[in-house]
Amino acid sequence: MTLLHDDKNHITALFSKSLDENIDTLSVLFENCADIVKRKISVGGDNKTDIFIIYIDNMIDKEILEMNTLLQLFRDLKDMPETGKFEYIKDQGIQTVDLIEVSTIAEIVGQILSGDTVILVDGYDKALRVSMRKMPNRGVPTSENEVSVRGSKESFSEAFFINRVLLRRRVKDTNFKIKQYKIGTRTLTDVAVCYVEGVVKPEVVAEIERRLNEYVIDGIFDSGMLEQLTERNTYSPFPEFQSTERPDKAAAALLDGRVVVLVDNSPVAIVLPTTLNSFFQASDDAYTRWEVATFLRLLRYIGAFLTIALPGLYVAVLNYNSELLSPAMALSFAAARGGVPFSVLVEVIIMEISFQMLLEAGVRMPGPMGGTLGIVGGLIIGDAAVNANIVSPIVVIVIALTAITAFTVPNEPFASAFRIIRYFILALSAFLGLFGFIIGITCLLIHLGGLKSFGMPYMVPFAASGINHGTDTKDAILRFPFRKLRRRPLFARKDERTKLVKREGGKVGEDENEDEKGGES
Amino acid sequence: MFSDNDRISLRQFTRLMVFDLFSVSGLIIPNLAAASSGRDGLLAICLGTLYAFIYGYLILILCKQTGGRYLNYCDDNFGRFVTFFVAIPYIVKLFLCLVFSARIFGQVINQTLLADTDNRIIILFLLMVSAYSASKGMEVRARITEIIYFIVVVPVVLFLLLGIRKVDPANLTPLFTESIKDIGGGSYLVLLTFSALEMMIFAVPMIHYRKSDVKKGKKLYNYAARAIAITGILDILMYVVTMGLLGRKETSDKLWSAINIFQMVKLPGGIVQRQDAFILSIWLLGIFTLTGALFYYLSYISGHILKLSSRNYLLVPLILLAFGVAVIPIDTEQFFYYFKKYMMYIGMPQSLIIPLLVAGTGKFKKFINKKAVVNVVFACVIAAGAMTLTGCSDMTEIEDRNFIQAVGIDAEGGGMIKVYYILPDLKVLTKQPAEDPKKLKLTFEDKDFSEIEEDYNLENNKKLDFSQLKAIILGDGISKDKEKMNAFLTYVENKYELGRNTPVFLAEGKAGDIMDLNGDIEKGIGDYLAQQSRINLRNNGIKEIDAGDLILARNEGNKTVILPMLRAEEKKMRVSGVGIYSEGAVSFRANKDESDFIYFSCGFGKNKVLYLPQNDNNNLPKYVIKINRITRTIEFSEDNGKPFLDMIVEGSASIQKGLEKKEDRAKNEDIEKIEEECNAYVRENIAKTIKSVCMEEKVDYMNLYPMTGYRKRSLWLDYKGRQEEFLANLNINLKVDFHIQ
Repeated sequence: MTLLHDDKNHITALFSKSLDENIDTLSVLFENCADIVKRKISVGGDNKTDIFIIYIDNMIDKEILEMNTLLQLFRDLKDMPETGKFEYIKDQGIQTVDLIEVSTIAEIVGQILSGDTVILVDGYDKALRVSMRKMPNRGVPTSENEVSVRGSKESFSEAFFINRVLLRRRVKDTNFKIKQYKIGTRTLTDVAVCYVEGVVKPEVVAEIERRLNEYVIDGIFDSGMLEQLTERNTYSPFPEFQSTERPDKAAAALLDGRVVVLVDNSPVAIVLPTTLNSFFQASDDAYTRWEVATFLRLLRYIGAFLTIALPGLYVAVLNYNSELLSPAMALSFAAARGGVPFSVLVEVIIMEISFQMLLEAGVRMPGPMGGTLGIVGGLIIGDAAVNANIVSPIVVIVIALTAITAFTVPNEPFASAFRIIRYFILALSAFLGLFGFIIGITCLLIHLGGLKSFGMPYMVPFAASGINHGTDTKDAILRFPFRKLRRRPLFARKDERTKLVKREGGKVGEDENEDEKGGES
Repeated sequence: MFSDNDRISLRQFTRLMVFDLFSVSGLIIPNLAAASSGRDGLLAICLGTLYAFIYGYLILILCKQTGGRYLNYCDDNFGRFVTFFVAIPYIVKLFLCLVFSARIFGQVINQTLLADTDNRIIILFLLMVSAYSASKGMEVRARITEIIYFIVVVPVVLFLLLGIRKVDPANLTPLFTESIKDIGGGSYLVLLTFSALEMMIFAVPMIHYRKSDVKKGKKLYNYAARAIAITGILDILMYVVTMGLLGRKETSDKLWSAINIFQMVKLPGGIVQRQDAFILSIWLLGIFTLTGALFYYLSYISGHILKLSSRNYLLVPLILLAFGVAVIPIDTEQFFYYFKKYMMYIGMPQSLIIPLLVAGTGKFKKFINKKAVVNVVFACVIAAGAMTLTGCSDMTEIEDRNFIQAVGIDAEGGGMIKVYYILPDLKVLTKQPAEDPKKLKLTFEDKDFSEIEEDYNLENNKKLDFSQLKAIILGDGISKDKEKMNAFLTYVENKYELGRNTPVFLAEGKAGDIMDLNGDIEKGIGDYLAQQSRINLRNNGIKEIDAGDLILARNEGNKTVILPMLRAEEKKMRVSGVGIYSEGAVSFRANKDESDFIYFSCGFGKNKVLYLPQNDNNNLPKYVIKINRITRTIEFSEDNGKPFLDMIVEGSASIQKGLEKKEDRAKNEDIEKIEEECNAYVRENIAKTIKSVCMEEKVDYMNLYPMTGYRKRSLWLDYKGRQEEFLANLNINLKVDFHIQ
């Protein structure tokens, strides 16, 4: 707490009518802030008055400031009246639409820190905020973590305003609302709650707003921090929010009646509520034909099962239930294991941890070196370990398959949960064989069955397949043809579930006629 | 948003009920039906299921009478003190059911999946996971059930449907042969397996009716009835496959005998050697649903009478209590005996009597408009001693096992038996650089199979593992010795690890002679015989005989099994004929030629080649005929108490050699002539075989008598227990009709 702040770091300084007092206040607040640019100048003809301009260097477009504001202030304010100077300056001196009045020091400081320019006028306890932001940013980057073959290549960036634009560009509807908040007493991070009014369930919006205001934190730097702050299932490895860097995916979620939360400085938006099924849906699914999309979905589900189960199943079958293997496989495994100094469990754990280390090192290493590390670690060391009989070739296959299948899930935080669960199932399988494996799977199912994301059961639609006329299952493990997906999922308001209808009086093709007959009423 | 109201939908209710009704009952119902109603077990199940419809209806009626909220109704009308006494019988019943389920499954898992693990560990884990499921509440349980419903039901049904192919109808028929008392008693026992329906009385308030449900006039009973019907169908399937594969004796011998069928049914594709572990694992998912339900209702009722804010606190003491009771050292069969008696005389009647009393008295009290208010503070302290479990799960790494490929058994003098184990030659089989076992053939001689296992353990550093066993070869001596054959089959029967689907062969001489060929045969004897059995014998349309068939024949007493016989020749072996297992031993052996006609008369022998004319060994055969297709039709009739059999062996054949090139008409005449000659030849030899084997040796190698059970019930009844007389009186009208193409 300082003289000008309270214990929650809120600015308590008062706005004065005296410009000098205000300048002093701002000078104290921005003391030792080398990036602050400020200047006091006099404008007007006969009735000159002092104004004070303040902004942060390189966060504004200086050219606009010079050409559209300062030039005008010096040139066009010759007829400054004796009274009503503030309004005169506002009307005649500034050529911009994005202009608002601010009336507290806290607001002024907030605007300056957000990259706006503030003009204070002597004799008035209010100021003008002129928006001419131009912060350094990466523009609209290409999506790197959720690559799509057919769809848009755009990705969210760290610049909040770009992210908003990316969404607005896709949903051109006045019902598309963006509610903005500042979170973090020191970082004052912009957080936007985006949704389509009328489609979203109001209680979900209210709930996220309530959770945003539930805690006071000093700073938020990424959506991941916000996610952890607002989630309910703290002790579950499974995320309660879906994260995405793809604006098209976020926009699709908005139309499904979900809420998208954007956080300044974070290239990842979070989507809520979410279900297990949502994590298996990739953007590409909607853009490709249903047969291909269904096949890929199936692969992802199988991949997810394998990534959780394969090491545990391998240990359980080898140590306890080898009768499950065909004779040729059993003998092959036995021969491959001959001479390996470790037990099957230790062997699997060594390989698994080695692979996770490789993965972690690969992520942290600079790009070109990461690839080299993969080759050296995966191929050379793996091959050497097998040749040296430290591990059996089968376990290398099992771990490699486990690792590959983990990447089939198109959501990294969700796939990461599997990486942890895998060890739990592995431990139980090592202890109790197939029985332990089933115990592990049952515990996982019970846990997932009890999870909810903003009131939505995590296992929908599998756990409530009949709900919403059973239409949610049409976009689950199987993805039905696009024209059959006529209803929004359960996320949307009950009376706003229809998303596709045939235009009345439109020219109806032969196949469309058939479709109508077979479709829902 | 979805609300956390502990409410479930009607569909979820049905699925929960199916699991609650079938998961444990499915395993014991074949035993209950077979033990109490014998061959009429099927009728007992059907009747029991019918009773279940009525029972379910009554439960729902009583539930309705109590306003749907049974315990609250008790509270309101009689006060908490009376509710306490109403609840206690339910708690006792649910607790006993929980203990029984945990115990039986602990034992089943111990016997099948985790043979070397302490049973107590299995039970403890089973209880803990079930309690965890219960702690999440009704809603979560319903969600999980909805997810796993098809994962469990579809493979189990598919598996049972595949099993039906192997079912011997003679084991299931004739029906209506047992007394009404037995059938009635059996059906009551079957009804007991539906006692989980009682839980509806507590579940009803948790069912959420959607507006559409109300609009459509959906009734809860319809959903309960659906669950009963599904369970009934599954029970019938389970019974048919178990009884059809194991026979009455084995089915009724052991409470969970149904587990053995998991070994015997073969899945197509051959990806897995034995699928029993797989099916059991899937089944386990259903078990957790039931035990979870028992925990849930136990905590629900206990929580209600103790007025606890969170019922989950009760789960820990409940786990400890159930665990403590489940591990009491008492034989499971004996435990089941007491449990059955309790359910018959207390458990089942109480489920109707108590709600009837509650509802009736409630109505009466309302009528006299007087409400008793009894407020008694009740506290219950449950203490359970923590069990100290020592050690952890025992297991053997895959490379520390000797996967026995083939077992040979010979009888030696002085009551001794000699057993040969063939080990895999890993280098040859897997092409991997593995440590080659110095000896691929191990020989042990002792009095009993268990002693031989002990001898093995004393001499070897690797675990004896039969899970990959490919063939069993019985020597001449043991196959003729009833006592030793019985000991061997009992050993196989009780050793779960030794798959019942392991093919069995006879050795013409000593099994040891065959085993000596191991080094000369590529990939060893086990692999060779497995291939021989699966490819060559099956190609000839011959039924693959496995250990399960022998056990069934031994248990049923009146069945015979035809075993392929092997002869060791110099550095090779060949199928030299068949031996017929009957009445506990191999009582008849036939050479290669005779065996062809034994197979023909049984309807097998596709791809066999006939050489005509017969009895002309000095010259080359004039005609060579290949049988392409063969079927046998049998029809029994009875005249003056004497059995008559019309047997037609027919099929198609092709001439491989001997058909001269002629014009069409002349050629057809030639074909007709060959056809006649061929049919006469086959007919004559089949008749000779039937005469020598059936009539003279009194060996019913075609299983004609058991067949009358489903083909001519009156004959079966007339000759019940007089199989020899049946064979002696049997008149056979044989017709052979091969159509040469």
